[in-house]
Amino acid sequence: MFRTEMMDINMGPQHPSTHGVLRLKLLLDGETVTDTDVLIGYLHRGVEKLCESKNYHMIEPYTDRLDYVAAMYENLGYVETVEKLMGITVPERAEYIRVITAELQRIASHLVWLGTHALDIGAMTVFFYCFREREILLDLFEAFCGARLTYNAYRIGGLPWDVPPGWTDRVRHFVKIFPGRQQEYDTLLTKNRIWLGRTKGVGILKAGDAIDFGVSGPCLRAAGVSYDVRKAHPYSVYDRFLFDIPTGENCDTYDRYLVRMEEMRQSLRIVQQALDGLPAGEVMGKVPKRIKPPVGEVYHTVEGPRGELGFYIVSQGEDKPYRMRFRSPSFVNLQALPHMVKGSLVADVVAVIGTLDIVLGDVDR
Amino acid sequence: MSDEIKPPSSPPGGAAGPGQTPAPPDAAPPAATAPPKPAAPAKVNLTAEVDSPVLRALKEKFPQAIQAVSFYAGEVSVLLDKDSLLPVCRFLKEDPALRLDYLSNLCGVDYPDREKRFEVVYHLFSISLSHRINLKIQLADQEPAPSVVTIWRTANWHEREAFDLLGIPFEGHPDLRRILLADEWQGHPLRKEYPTRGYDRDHMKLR
Amino acid sequence: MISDNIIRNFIIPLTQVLVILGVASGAVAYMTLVERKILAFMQLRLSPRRVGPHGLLQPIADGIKLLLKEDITPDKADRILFTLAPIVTVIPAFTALAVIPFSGGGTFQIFGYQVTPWIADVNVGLVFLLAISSLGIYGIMLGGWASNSKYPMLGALRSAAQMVSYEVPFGFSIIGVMMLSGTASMVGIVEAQREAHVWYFLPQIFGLFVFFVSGVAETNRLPFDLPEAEAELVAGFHTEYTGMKFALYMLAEYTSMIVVASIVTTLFFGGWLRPFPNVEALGFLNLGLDRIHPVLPGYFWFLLKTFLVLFVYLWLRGTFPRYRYDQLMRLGWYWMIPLSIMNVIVTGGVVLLLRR
Repeated sequence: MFRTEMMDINMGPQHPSTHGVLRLKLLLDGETVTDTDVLIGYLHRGVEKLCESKNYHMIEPYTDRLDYVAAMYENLGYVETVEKLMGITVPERAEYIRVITAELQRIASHLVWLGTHALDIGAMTVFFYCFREREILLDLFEAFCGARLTYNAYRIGGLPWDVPPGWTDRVRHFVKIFPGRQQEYDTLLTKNRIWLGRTKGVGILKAGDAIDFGVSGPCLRAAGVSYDVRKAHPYSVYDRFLFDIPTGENCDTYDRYLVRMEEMRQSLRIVQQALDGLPAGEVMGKVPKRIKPPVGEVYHTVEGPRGELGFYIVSQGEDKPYRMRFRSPSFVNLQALPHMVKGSLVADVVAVIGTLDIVLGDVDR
Repeated sequence: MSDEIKPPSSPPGGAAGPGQTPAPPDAAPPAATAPPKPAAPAKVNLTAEVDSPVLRALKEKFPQAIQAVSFYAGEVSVLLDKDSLLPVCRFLKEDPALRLDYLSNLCGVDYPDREKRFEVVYHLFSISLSHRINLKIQLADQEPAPSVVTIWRTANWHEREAFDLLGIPFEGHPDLRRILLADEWQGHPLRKEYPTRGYDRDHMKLR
Repeated sequence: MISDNIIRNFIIPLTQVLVILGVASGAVAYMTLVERKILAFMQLRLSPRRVGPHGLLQPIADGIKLLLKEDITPDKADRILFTLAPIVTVIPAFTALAVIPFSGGGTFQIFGYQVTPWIADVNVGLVFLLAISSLGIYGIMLGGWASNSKYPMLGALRSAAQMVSYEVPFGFSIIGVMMLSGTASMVGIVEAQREAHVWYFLPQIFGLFVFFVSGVAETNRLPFDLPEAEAELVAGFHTEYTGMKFALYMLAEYTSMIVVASIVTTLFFGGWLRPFPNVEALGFLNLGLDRIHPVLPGYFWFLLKTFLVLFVYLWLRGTFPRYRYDQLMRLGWYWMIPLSIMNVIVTGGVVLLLRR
């Protein structure tokens, strides 16, 4: 008498490659995934609720703790939303420095993604190479705002400080050395047969499905949809820089890898242009000390490293937001996971989690 | 009714301020040496009307469904009749001139003072045509909202979250259960009467 | 008085076994340190440096830690098999050392008795090695099954599949060597390489490739470490193991690595032979070194070559991502097996032509 049974297996919240406290319930037929249930919320801190009892200045440090791998973007999105809510204009120099730091943050975030993604697939060395470069970036951020992970780097209306002396030269140095370093990752992975085997054709997410699932960022662009908030409706001063939106064709993990690698190069281009065009002047605009936006509501999005990062603020004319909602790209992108892993092997689940580049702080808020 | 238990002026960083205490508001902009002009943003008219092709099309196609239109900072928000939400959404997504194929965000807002206390907001975006529109519907407590999962699959988790944190039921949702909180959680934290500190936290007090 | 017979047939082999076991265990312990040092060097980070000078006492500290750790048996595990499994893995790994010739050049004279630098020179040494080395996988399968846990179960299934796929090319790849040397004795193979004045890695380059790749797969090392793939299966078959039982698995893994490296050295790189006067193709490297060579014993050359093979193992680990289960199977069945069979046919043909 032979009979086969489905095996349900619990992946996470304590698992080496769920990137935090993600929990998946997989129904396996042998090693083939037939069904997935994504359980999240292990890191839910109720930031949206907390924001309702904090004034606008006090919220910014909370935004750091959402997507702690790219906290600069959470800051940027938040302060821009409040500025939009109040109609504040920001000094040019502040905008440029914001763009520089934000793009460096994108590179740093992609480095974490590349390192952990490769580590999940078994290439351990890339992880350490990536963190070597990320270390330089974190040093730059530390010099700029005093923190290495949760920056609280911007203020509503501008920046708290100008960059320290010599900082731009250090950034220039990074811009100079980084392409060579990126070549090293390329050498290790891009044409590696095992890497190709593990990523090509894995976790396919076609353009139509991606849009339907609300997926944004590199995952959407790898499906061939050239949607980038920086181009679609430029915020800050992004309309002044020349850069390309890399897109993929095969909608698979490998294309998402290529897209992110190219994004790092494009970010470097933006940083270079912003450094060249960095104007002199104030970094803080005319902002009332007590931030009290008029009655109204805005939804503002920025292009974070993981995708469209949206902030929805409802103001009732008080010094605290009435309702704050973070549209976090990780949360939305993660929804596509069951669709992407259906019918693939357990090893591919790990690859897909890696390629979605989720940060659980961002998913659970 | 605002939450009475919430201590806005309690000294240790509010109710549950983790880690770093946020900067006090007065210390924030060191460069803003200018005397505090009370209404700096008055220069821009934030509530100016903007022209929107989506709004025009909506007014033409569903004149009876639109209850109110508001403008803020270039955004158009349309308050819809609850029952016409699904046809409107389907039209917006499928109309070749509008193609609002991307549901950017969906969330609920709680206005306990209103007769219909909940508002569900849909932020739509067209990837190919790059235009936006915000839709809203209003619901009373326990009144189910029509689920838009059949139109945009991304609404699935957003609606689950609104159900979880605000207690808005969604009619026609395939899998409506709590998403962020534990299954046995009592209450819906984002409702205004829910204390920031949470219920049943007496044992957390120091003295 | 102990009779001469007892000494010759019992005490000397026992001493040999103990010495080789001791040396092998020490080598395994320091292999972990070497691995960490080399990987750290490749990965721009520091290796263990705190315990002893340059971390040289780290393996001892690790050993003590593993001995003192609580030995947990999961509640629903099959207790007997759970305890037996690591032992089943570790015994074949050490047994395989019995037929490996560590040095040559005849025998030692100790207290008037002849002592060989190998435990046994069996005339079916290679077949014995094949038989023994495939037993180790049973311990892995048993351990994964006896844990009564899901991740170990998946790891055990993977290792079973892996064994089936890689045992065949593993066996086929050495047939070429046997045909060239005309013997299955390990000592005989090295002697044949000396007489042929060529090491078999040159005529048997495909055999070497297949053998080494299958060997990496047999020992569950990256990029074939699927049974324990830590990113997917947490720790695979040894997820539930702690303390000494876990240490036994590690011991078995590293011993198998050393065994495979020794076999590669013996079969393809001339065992204890020194390179320059021996391999004519390498004569240009000689540079008058052959005057120093005789000073260096066969052990030195054997260990040096084995270490170089082991270094390749670590190098692979530092470079490659992990294969996926189905790709591993495909590689085994579509590439390794045909390649090894082709190698056997071509070698057989050439040998036949030359003998004629």
